[in-house]
Amino acid sequence: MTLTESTEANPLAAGLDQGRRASPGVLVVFGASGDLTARKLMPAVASLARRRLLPSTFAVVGVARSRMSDDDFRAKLIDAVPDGGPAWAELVKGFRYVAGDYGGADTMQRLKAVLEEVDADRRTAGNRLFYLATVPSVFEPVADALGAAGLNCPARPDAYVRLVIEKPFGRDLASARQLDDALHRNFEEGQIYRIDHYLGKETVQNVLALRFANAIFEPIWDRRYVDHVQITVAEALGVEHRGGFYETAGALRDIVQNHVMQVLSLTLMEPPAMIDAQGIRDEKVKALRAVKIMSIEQVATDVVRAQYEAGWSEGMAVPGYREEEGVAPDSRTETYVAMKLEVDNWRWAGVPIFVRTGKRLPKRVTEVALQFQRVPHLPFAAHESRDLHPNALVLRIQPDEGISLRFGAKVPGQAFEVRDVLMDFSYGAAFLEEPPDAYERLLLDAMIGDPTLFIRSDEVLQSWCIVDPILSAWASKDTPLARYPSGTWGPKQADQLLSREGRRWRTP
Amino acid sequence: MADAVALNRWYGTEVGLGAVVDTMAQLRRSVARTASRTWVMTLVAIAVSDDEAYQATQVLRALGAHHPARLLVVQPQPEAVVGAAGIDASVTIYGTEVDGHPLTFDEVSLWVKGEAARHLDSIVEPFTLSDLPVVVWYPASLPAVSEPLLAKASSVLVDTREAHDVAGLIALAGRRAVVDLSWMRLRPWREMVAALFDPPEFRPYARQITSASIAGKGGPRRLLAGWLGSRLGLSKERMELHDARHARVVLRSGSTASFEVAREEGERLVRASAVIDGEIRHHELLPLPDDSLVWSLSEALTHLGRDRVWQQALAAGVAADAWL
Ligand SMILES: NC(=O)c1ccc[n+]([C@@H]2O[C@H](COP(=O)([O-])OP(=O)(O)OC[C@H]3O[C@@H](n4cnc5c(N)ncnc54)[C@H](OP(=O)(O)O)[C@@H]3O)[C@@H](O)[C@H]2O)c1
Repeated sequence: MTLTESTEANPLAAGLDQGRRASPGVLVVFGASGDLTARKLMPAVASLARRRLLPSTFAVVGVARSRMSDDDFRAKLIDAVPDGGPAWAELVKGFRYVAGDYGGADTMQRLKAVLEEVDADRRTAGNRLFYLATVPSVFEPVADALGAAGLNCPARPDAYVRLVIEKPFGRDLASARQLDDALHRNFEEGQIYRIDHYLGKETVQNVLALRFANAIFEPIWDRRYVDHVQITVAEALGVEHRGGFYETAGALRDIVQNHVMQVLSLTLMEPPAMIDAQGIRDEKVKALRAVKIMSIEQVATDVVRAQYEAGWSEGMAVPGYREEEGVAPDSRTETYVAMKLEVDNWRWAGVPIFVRTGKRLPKRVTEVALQFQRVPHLPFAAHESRDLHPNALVLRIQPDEGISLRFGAKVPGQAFEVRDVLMDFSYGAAFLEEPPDAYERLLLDAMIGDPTLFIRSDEVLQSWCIVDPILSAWASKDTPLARYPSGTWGPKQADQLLSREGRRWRTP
Repeated sequence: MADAVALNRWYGTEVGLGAVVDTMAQLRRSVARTASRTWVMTLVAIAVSDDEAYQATQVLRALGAHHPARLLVVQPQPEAVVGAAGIDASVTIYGTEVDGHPLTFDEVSLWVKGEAARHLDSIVEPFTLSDLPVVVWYPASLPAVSEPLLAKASSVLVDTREAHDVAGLIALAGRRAVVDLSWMRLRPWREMVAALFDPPEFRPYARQITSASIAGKGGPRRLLAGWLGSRLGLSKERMELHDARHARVVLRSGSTASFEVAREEGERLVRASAVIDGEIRHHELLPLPDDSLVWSLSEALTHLGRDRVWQQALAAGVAADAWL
């Protein structure tokens, strides 16, 4: 018997608030034999299933060059989620694997056939989420091959086809444009979901909540009160065994172009009319457009690049970058960048934005700090206010997510001595629910079709526009490359970037 | 997160409330582990026995270590002999760490004797945190509709698992936000049953269910039956109820289709299936949902509003006389 389909409301769903439950569909992972699939994607899928956010009419189809049978693939996925239990094993039974070259027409024909079988077996309704979890060099060929095979368009009028793409989105402005063109040859922008897992982090989203759910912060969030902004993305680790990869990237491409630009745009953007895909992304891209593009001369004065040397990190003696495996002994790849950015709009004109990111810094921390101006007049004797600094509001993104506010308070006693105190709010200490993993959140968003936390084409290109002049300036052999011992906050040139204007880096 | 440890404790018999409040401030000053505190609510548990009070404190502590509430455990003892002040009290400051941030929370236990036990509203007020919700929890008993404390509560938490007579509760729910922990525990079950009708081709059956068989323990079974009855428009005659240790729901559409969600015997798994025209069209295994008290309480604290679907389910459950 063929069943008639219905779109009327499910009477049993009343009151269950299931707006965030995925509809039937297939997740097609290119690069399914790889690290990201095993370490992030499959645990995220299993967790969504455990939270009952995935329908039973869901399946994964893996695609990669490695030879594997469906059963080999399933066994691999079961291993990838050690706490999955029988429920995961049951779900995985419906998953399939297609071995083949990424851009091959033959791979796509076999994939198409498998997808039709899965639609019939698992009632996945023709919905497909293609996920490019493989090396960037195959992004274009896969997009073209999907297009050529007609897999870029829904097979049924009510179905969706979406493409999730991992960073890096190019390695400079020109290659980003080329990739973008390749994607747009085959997919509409509305189908493309560019992932920056930073946006899946609860605390990055909390920047929006803090700014736009509270009346007390927004009025002081501008040039009249803020002296300058510091964005820090610090890692304690070195390049580990990814030296070979890192040699082709560097801190500017690996962190600044994507994560830093995302955090920066959320911090600087104007309030959107709606917290939705268009509202947020329109304002983010407007903020990025206001960031001044540097001239080659400015890069020399306002950007510092550096490499770590041997030193001590978290109690261990560690090698310098050039001694790491896979790294050229005369490498000029930066493991650290500090820069001063300027923003040309009414809100931020004249407020410098200092950015620093690096490996082998003293600890792992990501934060945005708004340093406020001094009070116009301090009515205390100098010796009484020695220990007082201007207010600072710090949004800690990781590891211990929260907000702290530095302000002056009277020291108990007879004298009117004032000193800094820190008021600290920790998200972990205020809410019971464990926030979902960033991949889990983003994967579900992509299945539901909510692109708010994904990066739009114009955002990617604009952030490359900001970074591109720096890459060009560095291409010249005589741009200096500073050194810093592992386990320190970077080279002295980075300190001078601030001290020359009477400011200094915070110690996070 | 580290386990919560008692940093400081005080116990007083026949004391005034002022003394308890002052002691709390003193104890806090002496621990001074953290410069600021994050509060989200005042949580008041009303326990009718030592046993219940003990259970409640254990749960609240497990929760409080995450969820910075001021915890107040009140044991009304209307029959007890009243001494000088009529109240015995203990105050404990707990310390724990979340992501390296020191966190403290306090717990006040009050034994309220004699006539004062009928005026708990006046007892609780000095301890509530300003501007934040006051959540009153009845771990096992149900509150009397006339209980004056309810007027101070932003939400009332109850558990109908063991409750036979819920008529008063239905009346109360018409007036305040009442959250039933038993309903919270059924939430995953409701989701699993509802999910069977999510595929568009199964959806039409949801409107054509002709009979239901519901197994489980008294309170939860009543709620499930009431829920299915009220959502699917099933009369009492079309529902068959069984007493059983584990929940099981079977919905039938004539003789052509049946939809089932049942716990796997001896396993921590739930099986959901759909059989249409004798053919298994859908089959799925799901992990058995958590049903611990800590879990259900935390669910309740995240869904503190009124729930119309629950109100209708409870009323319909009573009408179906689902308590065997
Ligand atoms: N891993 C992470 O934690 C992480 C985090 C953020 C972003 N990402 C991004 O996610 C994507 C995948 O990362 P990954 O770590 O999973 O990569 P990976 O393990 O190195 O590669 C994934 C799969 O791609 C195939 N592959 C590898 N080298 C190839 C080549 N030169 N040509 C064609 N295919 C090749 C391999 O499968 P077959 O040989 O079987 O085809 C491999 O299993 C990348 O874009 C990465 O930047 C990863």
